Amino acid sequence: MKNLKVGVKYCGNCNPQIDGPALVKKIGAEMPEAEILPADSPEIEALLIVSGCPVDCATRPSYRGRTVVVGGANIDYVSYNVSQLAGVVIKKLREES
Amino acid sequence: MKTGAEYIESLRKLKPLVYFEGKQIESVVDHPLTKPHVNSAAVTYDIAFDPAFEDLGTAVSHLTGKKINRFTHIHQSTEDLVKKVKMLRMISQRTGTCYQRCVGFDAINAAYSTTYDMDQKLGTSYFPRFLEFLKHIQETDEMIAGAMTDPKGDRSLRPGQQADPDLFVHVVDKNDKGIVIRGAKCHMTGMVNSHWMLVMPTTALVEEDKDYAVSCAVPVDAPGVIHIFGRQTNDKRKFDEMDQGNARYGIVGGECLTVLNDVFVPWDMVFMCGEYQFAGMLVERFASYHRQNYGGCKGGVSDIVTGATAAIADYNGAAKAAHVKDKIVEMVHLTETLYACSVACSAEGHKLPSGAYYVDPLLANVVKQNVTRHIYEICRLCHDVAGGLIATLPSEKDFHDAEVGKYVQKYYKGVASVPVEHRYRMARLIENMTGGTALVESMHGAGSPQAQRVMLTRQGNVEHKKLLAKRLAGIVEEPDAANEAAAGKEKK
Repeated sequence: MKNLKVGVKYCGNCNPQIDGPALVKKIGAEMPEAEILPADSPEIEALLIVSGCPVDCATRPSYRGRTVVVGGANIDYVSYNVSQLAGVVIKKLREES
Repeated sequence: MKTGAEYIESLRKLKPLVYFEGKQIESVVDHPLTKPHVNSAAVTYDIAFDPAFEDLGTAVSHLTGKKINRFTHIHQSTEDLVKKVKMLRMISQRTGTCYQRCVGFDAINAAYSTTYDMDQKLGTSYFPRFLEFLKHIQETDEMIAGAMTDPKGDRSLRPGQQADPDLFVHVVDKNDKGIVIRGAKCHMTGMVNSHWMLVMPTTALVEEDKDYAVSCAVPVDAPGVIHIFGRQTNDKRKFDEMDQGNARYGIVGGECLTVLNDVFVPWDMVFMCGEYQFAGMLVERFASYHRQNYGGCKGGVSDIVTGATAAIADYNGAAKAAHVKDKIVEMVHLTETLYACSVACSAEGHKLPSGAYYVDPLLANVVKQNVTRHIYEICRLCHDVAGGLIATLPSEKDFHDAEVGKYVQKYYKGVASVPVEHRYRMARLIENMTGGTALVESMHGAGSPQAQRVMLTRQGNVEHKKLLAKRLAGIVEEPDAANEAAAGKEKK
């Protein structure tokens, strides 16, 4: 049952330190309750912002709803190991839903 | 906020122990060796009151909502970071030299975000303590010297492995009232005319070196603190006027060796004490903020060097030569390259967990790496165009001498319509700004070139570049290591 609609917004990936699409794919696979949608879908309940590096271009202009911000190996501006990223994002999406 | 005059007056109330050639400098405000550096720092205060510059020279405190001098501000946006660079260029265009205050500015920004992260991770309580210190600085507009560089002794050894344990600043005692630190800090820019120093570790540390993981604020005239003022190229000319080249503001930042002889620091001024895990973060953040500056401050200094080169070409009658025009264009190109990179690392800055903004560290290190090269090239071009007189001119006293002055003035005349004193003064300004101490500062200030290359190695994202090349070359590697890492998969 998919009961959390998550929009995904990517940066332009000019200098990515992580593979953002692969990260989102993994999150989708490990979070069956989430429906991954484009960022501009009107029905989204949370926005997952995925920037390839800490400059975090995808956050601009800022979105006025619930967000989880990935910027390279940072999530919500806190640094993690890349292997932790998917788990931390899923935890945050579940906590905030 | 303080005006420049109020800043200078406030220094008179301090009693730092400053020595030069074995004698104590009684007043840094009045002594010819230190006075130009005081004047230069005072400009950072005056710009806050000048309507033409206040947009860059001031900010609104995120702590109090009050208007403050930007040098006491914590960056709240990428716009703040860009304004910092523009402010530095603007001030350099007025002083032609270092005004010292960026070091403390960078130190408070690095300490702010690092103490926050440290508290979050370790449960310490340094951040609220630091906030109280920061509020005091914003309220009083006092000047802070950033005190990072330790003597370091044998570079192949860690702090705790040195033959002399004092070659890195360390904690030698602590009690319920505070800590006692010992060691020294080298090349201390603006230290003798600051109110405070913000002591920071000089390198990343391991657990065995935790006594060296110390950050604290210390008054420059605290008991046990001794400053030994550094020599500069031609520093005895500070007792002359025209021969100084830049008599009002001097050369670089009036650096000194600061000795910390068992200095007591109360706990409310201690911002790191033993948390070796965060020494590297504090160093890296300070270094990146500081390297950001150089396309701004050196950009402004280079504006003057370029202007001086063009002016002396006019005085020499060489301004219309095609190669001179081309060399001046090259100086402009190099200067704007430095500046562009500083703006870029600021525009590409990002938010930290504390809410403060941090420059892009990769681009900030590129800024400083460029400065270690381009300033030398700018100065080389300047020397090329200006001519050998910048190194061989007779003295100011001979210029004015009743017996020989007429010969100096006759034979150093250039274009007939230009007073010979103008040519003399411009040559001295060029000598001051492009050689000796001023030039070396471009190489080693904010870290030596190899320090930046270490950062470029770590942040260059070469794996991504390899992927791009392999993709175009039709090379398929299954599975791709970077993709695996990003997706958190185990490597097969």
